[in-house]
Amino acid sequence: MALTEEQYERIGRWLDGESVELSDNERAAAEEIRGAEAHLAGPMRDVEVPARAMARARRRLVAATARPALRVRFVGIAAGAAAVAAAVVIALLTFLAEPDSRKPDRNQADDQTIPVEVWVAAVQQTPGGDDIALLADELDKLEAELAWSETAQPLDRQIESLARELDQFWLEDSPDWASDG
Amino acid sequence: MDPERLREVVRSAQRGQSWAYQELLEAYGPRLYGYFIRAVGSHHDAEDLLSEMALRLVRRLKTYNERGKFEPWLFRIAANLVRDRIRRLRANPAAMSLSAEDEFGPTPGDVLPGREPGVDAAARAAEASRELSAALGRLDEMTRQMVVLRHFGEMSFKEIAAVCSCPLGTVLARVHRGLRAMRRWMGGNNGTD
Repeated sequence: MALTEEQYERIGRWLDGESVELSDNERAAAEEIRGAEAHLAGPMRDVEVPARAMARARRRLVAATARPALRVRFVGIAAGAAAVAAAVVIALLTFLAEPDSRKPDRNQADDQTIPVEVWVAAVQQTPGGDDIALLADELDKLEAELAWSETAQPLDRQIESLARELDQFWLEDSPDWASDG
Repeated sequence: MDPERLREVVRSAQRGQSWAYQELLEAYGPRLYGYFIRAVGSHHDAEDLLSEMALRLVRRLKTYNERGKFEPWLFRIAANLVRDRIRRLRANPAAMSLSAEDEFGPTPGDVLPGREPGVDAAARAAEASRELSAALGRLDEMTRQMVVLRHFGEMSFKEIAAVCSCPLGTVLARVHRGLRAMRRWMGGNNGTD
């Protein structure tokens, strides 16, 4: 006798372990299914798995599980390389933007500068310091004259010229009384 | 694998531990292979499917929810793989492999000389296995899936109904008719006696 869909559903629930009341027909069908499954269980599972098939699956599994780890490692390396590259670029830009940075350190240069007082003292202590002092005095006078000539008025220039001529006269054509005196 | 150990291994695998995936493959690989060979009837295709299954396991395990049972979850993926493979073979019958069995009969490899000489028991088991393969090959695809999922996936009928997207009553009706036909085709001899 053919069973309906609803009856098969009840059989299914009963075979799944639910507490369902089955009719005689339903119970017979359920027992037939259970018996057939038990009969087929032996040959059904009599399958020898080729070692090759398992080895291939293992290789695939290893490759699939290794991929995320490799990806993480690659990302780490890439991030590190990017950071280094960025640091190099920043350093390069800083170097180009600040040319003074290529010059020696200013403090170091200052350390190497000798104060003028030290120079003067050293010159005065050398032998022949009197000659050097005379030359320095002459240089000062010349420098003062040059400075004056740049700013002198025409009348000043005339007076200065007359003074020079007078000096010359007294040096070259001075009367005897003057030189004797 | 006992449930506690399985839970631990699955958690480790979900954290990306490769040893855990290996352990799952060692535990379920033979059963999955058995399911594939009975469902598609070809060693070559079963080997392909097991390899594909290893990949799917890694991709999908993160989505597995511990509240569900692991085995039905695993065999649901396997059933989808089988369904896709059969669909592809139907669309392109010329793609059948050299090792593919003819109507679930022996593969060319099975009849090559130099196969292991079997003792009587082994020969009887091999004969029963061949008869079973032939009988399974005569079932329609859906019924075959239900019968083998029940065995290898150790699924309840309710779970099979969910995998096959069928009402529970339909599953039972198909399985009942299928098993009855198989016993008839196999001459009532299951090879275990």
